Amino acid sequence: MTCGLLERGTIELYWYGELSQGERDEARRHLDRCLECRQALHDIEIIAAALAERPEVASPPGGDWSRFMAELSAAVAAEPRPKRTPPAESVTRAGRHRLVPYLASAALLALVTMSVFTLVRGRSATPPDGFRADVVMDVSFEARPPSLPDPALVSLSDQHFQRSKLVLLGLTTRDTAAPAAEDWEYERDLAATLLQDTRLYRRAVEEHGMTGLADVLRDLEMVLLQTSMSEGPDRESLEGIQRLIRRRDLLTRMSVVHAGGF
Amino acid sequence: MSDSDLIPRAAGGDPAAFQALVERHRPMVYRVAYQFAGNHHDAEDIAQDVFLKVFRSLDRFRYDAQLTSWLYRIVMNACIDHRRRQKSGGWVPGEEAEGTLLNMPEESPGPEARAYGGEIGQALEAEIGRLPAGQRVIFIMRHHQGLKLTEIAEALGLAEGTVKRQLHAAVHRLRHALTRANVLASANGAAGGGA
Repeated sequence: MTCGLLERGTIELYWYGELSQGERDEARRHLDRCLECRQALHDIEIIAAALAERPEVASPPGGDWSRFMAELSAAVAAEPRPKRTPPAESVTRAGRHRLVPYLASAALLALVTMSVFTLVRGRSATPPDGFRADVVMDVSFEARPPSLPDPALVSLSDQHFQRSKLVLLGLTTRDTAAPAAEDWEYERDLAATLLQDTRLYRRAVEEHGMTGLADVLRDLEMVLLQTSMSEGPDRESLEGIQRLIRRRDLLTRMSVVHAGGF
Repeated sequence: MSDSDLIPRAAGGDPAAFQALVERHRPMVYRVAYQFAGNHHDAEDIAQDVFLKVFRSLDRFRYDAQLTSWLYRIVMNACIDHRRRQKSGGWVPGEEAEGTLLNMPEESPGPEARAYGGEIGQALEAEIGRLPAGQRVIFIMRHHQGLKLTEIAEALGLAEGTVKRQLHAAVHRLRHALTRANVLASANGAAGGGA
């Protein structure tokens, strides 16, 4: 049977110096009498000693950045010129709401949705040697002009948005005092699945300069990531996620964007 | 010139300002990318990807955040994206959950990585390569960047409890894998039987 302190990760936190003085004193006393935890601490010391020998590599071979910088310059030069927009801190919520009519355009929605599928197709295809997948993807964006909205694709993006909102609503209304393990498991799995699609949609809308929607999707991505990485129905994780949803006013913003056309 | 001076200039299209930002932060980005990937080829790909994303997003940078924290998030995402591309060569949304997608070992460590640490170092390198991407990023940030758990949580936008659990899971997994491989047992023996 594994010692409870070891199971909870206290011994690692002791080694990392992440315990309070009181917890540290208690852990030290525990270590005096627990052979299993002493053994674990010794293992961690061995791992840390081996890791300390792991090389710190902070530059390309020989410290030569010239090829790296040349490739980056070429990639940047191929990008559209940055727009002279005010920094994000000065974009008010009212400013975001002014984007809603823009987001409501069915043609743009179809374009974004189709871009996602184009992106997936670009990634599914094996790029020729010497070509990076994302370069192939960028080319395919330019090569495929928007066409008429496809109701099936529009419906798919709508479903994605609805499912994401349901996960958020579930997380927001969950009782932090007694989160149910089964519900949590379901929401975590769903969040992990939705995360990938959200990332695709976010990239597609960024490509089209739809900064308001991209902001919403980025925040949604953050919540889904936190949810999918949480391991159990514990109060601290759930409260953290609920705080994030509230702070970013995410449900309201998703509703506004959705009402505007999704 | 500080980051907060350079960012608006770079966002406005000043190439010298963008280059100055890249030169200032490329060692950190490369170090994390290399620790994640274990070889130069992939580390360069990841670092390129990171700075291209930075270029695309500079005008959306939130000035209430630290640039390094923001960069960490971009590096983490770039590492995860890179692993996904590497694993599948093509990818369909909804194919697998984030946590299980990213569990493939690196193909081959670089010469620096191969040279270190003897039996434990080699075994550790292989096991780090098998950690899920999220755990690996957190483990690397703690061990190689020396960041406190609160700093990692802030940089990645995660709850501190989540970081603790992911780190615990990573260390637990490494310990057990190395024990199974008899590497720790032999090290403990060599060290005189442990505590």
